[in-house]
Amino acid sequence: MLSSRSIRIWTWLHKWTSLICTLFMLLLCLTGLPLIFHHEIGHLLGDEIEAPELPADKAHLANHRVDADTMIKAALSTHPDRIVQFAGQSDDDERLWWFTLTPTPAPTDDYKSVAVDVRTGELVGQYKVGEGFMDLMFRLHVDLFAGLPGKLFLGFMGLLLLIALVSGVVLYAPFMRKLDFGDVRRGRSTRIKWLDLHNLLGIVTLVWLFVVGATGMINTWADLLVKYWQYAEVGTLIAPYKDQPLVPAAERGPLQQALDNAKAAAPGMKMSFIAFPGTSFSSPHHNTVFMRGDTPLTSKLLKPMLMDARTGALTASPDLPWYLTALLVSQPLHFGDYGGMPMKIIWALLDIASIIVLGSGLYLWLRKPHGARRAASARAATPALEESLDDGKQPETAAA
Amino acid sequence: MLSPESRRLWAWPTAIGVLSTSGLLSALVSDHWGDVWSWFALGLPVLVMAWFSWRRERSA
Repeated sequence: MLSSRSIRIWTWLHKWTSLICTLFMLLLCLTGLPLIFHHEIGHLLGDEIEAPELPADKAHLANHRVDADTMIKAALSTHPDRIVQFAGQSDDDERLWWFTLTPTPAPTDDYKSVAVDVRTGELVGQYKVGEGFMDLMFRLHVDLFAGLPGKLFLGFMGLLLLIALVSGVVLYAPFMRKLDFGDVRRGRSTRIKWLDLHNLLGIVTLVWLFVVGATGMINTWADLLVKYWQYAEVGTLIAPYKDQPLVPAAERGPLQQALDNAKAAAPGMKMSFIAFPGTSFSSPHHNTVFMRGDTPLTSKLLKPMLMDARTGALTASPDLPWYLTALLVSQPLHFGDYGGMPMKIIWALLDIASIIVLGSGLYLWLRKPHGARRAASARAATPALEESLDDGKQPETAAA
Repeated sequence: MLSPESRRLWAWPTAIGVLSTSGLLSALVSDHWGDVWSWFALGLPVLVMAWFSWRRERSA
């Protein structure tokens, strides 16, 4: 049983953590809604690129695979002044590889993304990046157009949400003592009705929202975790290369050789993507080939293979540290993209329920009865609590 | 141990919480039956919310 003093403290905590993060959480829930279906929406808008049907004279190439170096040439032909930062096979179409082209190996928002056909080595098209409705949703959802500070700010809002959820659970009991689960008192004031709905939807969405909130918060730290990994672990692995400059493109060995070596050294694994020398996921002297497993769980776990950029030989294949493993495993739990279309629809419905919880919470605060914004009297834990109990009787907790 | 009062109060929330958790995890570790279970385990809480939100108040 909570004492009236502890109810007051939890109420204060719930109120302020909620109020500070509510508007941002509403924004995240609203922008997250279309992002759940980004794939399907991209398809509808025609933003997706599909591998072309092969013409009759090239039909024999259906199972042919050109080498990676041929594909790089095709990708760079679109923007000869750029370099390749990352490349990999398309998740949706095995016949396509994507290439990310940027001015320098440094992280940047100025990137182009192109698709190359693995059967012919020909350019298929350029993905739309940094434009359109979905990009707006994505930027608002991820960093508010403010880069890393924006991400970290939203991560802090996520932390406040988690505190609001925990304090909400603590307050659930005193509010529900005279009610059965799911009771919504429609016969009383509008405020009471919404209080009951807030408590019902809040307690049912609790686990889902906590998981999505926590994994979202972890996601905001991704850049920092990768930077730390570079500093703490990759740094020691590439100590022999210390003080050597970035390997110039002209001195790099064939990429296909590096890929073949990586595959040979990681039997039973598939390539996820390649990070080129000097980029945020590699070293100045290596093409880092990230391999992944093929079961639902291990496909989320990446194994970095550092391949010497000059020789294509394997330098090291460190295990990912626990914090990057946690990040990779937590990502699907945020996106809801790992259980087919039914899961996406359920994700959207739970998201809408969360919007109602946030909105009703805001309403309950805005429509507080007169005088209730002054400090609650010592006798009543909170005006809302007092009001929520039948006939305005003092809750026993307050009399304790 | 929990009082009967607490048990009455927390039975539903706990059941829904455990169910949701199992659904979130099952799809992560298994692609076929794990997905199917997740649809049930996460879909049921959605139905529970809908049912209690739209049902008419019982006459006291």
